[in-house]
Amino acid sequence: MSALLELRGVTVRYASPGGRRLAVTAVDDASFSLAAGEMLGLVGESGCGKSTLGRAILRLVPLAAGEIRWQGRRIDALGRREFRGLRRELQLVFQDPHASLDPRMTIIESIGEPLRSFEPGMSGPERDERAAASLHEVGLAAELSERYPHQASGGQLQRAVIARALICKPQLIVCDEPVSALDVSVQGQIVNLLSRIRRERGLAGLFISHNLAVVAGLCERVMVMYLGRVVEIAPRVALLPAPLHPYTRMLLDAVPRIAPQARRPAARAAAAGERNPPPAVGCAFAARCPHVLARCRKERPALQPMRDGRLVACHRAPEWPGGLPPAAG
Amino acid sequence: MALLEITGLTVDFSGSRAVRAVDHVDLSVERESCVAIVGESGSGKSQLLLACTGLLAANGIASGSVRFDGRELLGAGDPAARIRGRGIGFVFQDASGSLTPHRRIGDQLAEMGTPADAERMLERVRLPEARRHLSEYPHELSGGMRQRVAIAAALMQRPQLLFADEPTTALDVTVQAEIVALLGDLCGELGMAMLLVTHDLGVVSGLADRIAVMYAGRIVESAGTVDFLSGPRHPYSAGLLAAVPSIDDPPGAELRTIAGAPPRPGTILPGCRFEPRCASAQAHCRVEDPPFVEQGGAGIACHYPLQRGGR
Repeated sequence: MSALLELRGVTVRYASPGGRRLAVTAVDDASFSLAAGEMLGLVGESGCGKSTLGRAILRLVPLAAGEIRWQGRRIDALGRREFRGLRRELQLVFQDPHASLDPRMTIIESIGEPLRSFEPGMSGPERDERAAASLHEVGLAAELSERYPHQASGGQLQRAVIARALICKPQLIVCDEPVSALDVSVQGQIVNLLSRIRRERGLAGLFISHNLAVVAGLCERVMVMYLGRVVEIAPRVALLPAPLHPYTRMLLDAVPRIAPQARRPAARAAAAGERNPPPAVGCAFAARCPHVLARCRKERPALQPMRDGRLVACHRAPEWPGGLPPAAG
Repeated sequence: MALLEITGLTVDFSGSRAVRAVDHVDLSVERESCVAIVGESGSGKSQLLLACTGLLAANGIASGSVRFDGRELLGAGDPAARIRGRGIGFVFQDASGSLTPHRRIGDQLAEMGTPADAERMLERVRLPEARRHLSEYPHELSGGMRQRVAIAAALMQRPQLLFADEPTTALDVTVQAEIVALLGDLCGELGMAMLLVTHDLGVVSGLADRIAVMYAGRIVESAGTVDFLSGPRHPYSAGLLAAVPSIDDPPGAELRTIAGAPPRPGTILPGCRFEPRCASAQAHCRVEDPPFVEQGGAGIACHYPLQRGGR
């Protein structure tokens, strides 16, 4: 079976302002594939390149190297007009719904807007009908349709953004931190909505978030990035109990657990690697890794296949086939 | 007497539409204890903190009483500023906002002490190679390191009380946990009390001795942290706790949510403010706003509270 979406060696560089310093490599040699109907979670901390990777798929940033295939066909080299035909298959939901919607358009106008581009022959009433159906699908009351963004809550607006993304019946939806700007009591509503829609529509998705708990609930597979590099890809059920990469372990350990008797670990010193740019040689995580060896600083680990269809970029991963245990608190 | 005593604190904003952001809040912080105010955006939790610190926006008016170590902080003008300057430190969400971008870290800290004090304080916040950082500018540090420096700045005057407004929200997950641990340790080491404001229940569970939950300008529940986490009594608190996604949830499980959204500021209806979203609301809740009743170290504003342990 060929994958719906496949990335090979995708690299994105940003020139530094003024060009005096070296360009920043935001995404460094990322390869992965996504099957039709699959939801892949992408986690990592700010600056790890996860949003850039999402944008690269939609050609919102140019590639410095690598290729992207959609249903087996290379799309990274397509011309603007050719890509435009594909663009309706690939949709994007951003973090801040206020910034995603035109404040001068009513919610129903915003939802129907993509149809103007992708179905230019469609009549006004027909467009309104499709928009109303999309509004209904995301659980928004009909009376919201004539409101402007400032008259609705963040949760309602994010539903509207999702309705707009779905109106052209895409096959893939890239969600970049779609619930991070929302209140906890509302976050779950949006996650549950995305979960239901993808089940009903067989939609594939790339779900980008810094919140491992949200990703774990929604996605079958999880990909972890650190400083521009993919360090681990694994099915959720394997990753959570038994992470193979030390950075994945650190992320899991950092997830706060709400327990009445939870004990807080003693304060540690700020890690020296916290502010370092990725090293030119060796493993990106070496500066912070508790398991670092001399080899890790010299030789960059490649993403290697492990048991159960897992992939990990760590020289020492074969030493702990059963996964890394939680750090002693 | 508690170190900080807030009584009947109300914050009103004037403008084209009057908004009451904080509505008759009572709260106290004992010496050397940590109290966390938890709430969603618009609940009034940050305005409460700003009112205590005299940093409300120009159209905001605070009324009621805020007593620090027995002295009134509200509307006292200059003397209040002096009391705060000596006795209270602040840490905000955005560390870069607390530091001047064009001055060396050492110079900024030394404004409130000697250069040697500054170096000692950087060591206290566990910044390795403290001396080297003294000659650096804020932008040369990572976000987590900057927050450590902002904490050091807040502690230079050895305050008895630290106000912390979402101190970890802008940070990465792995760094968040470290800042939480640091704040907890510092309170213990310096014998300092803390009033922490956050939307993140995960942050408070390892740090706070007491939790106060705010909703639509009011405190709806307050209790010791262990009691609260093992059995919240207000339906909103219970919903909030249940809504936090956990990596221990079974795969594909529906997340629990609270239906609807918090009321928009300025649209407070009669009756209980949570009633439109409350699963256990009854007719009475729509009519009468439940008063905040304190008993045995815990307080609640609900006509039909949940039984402890009966979630």
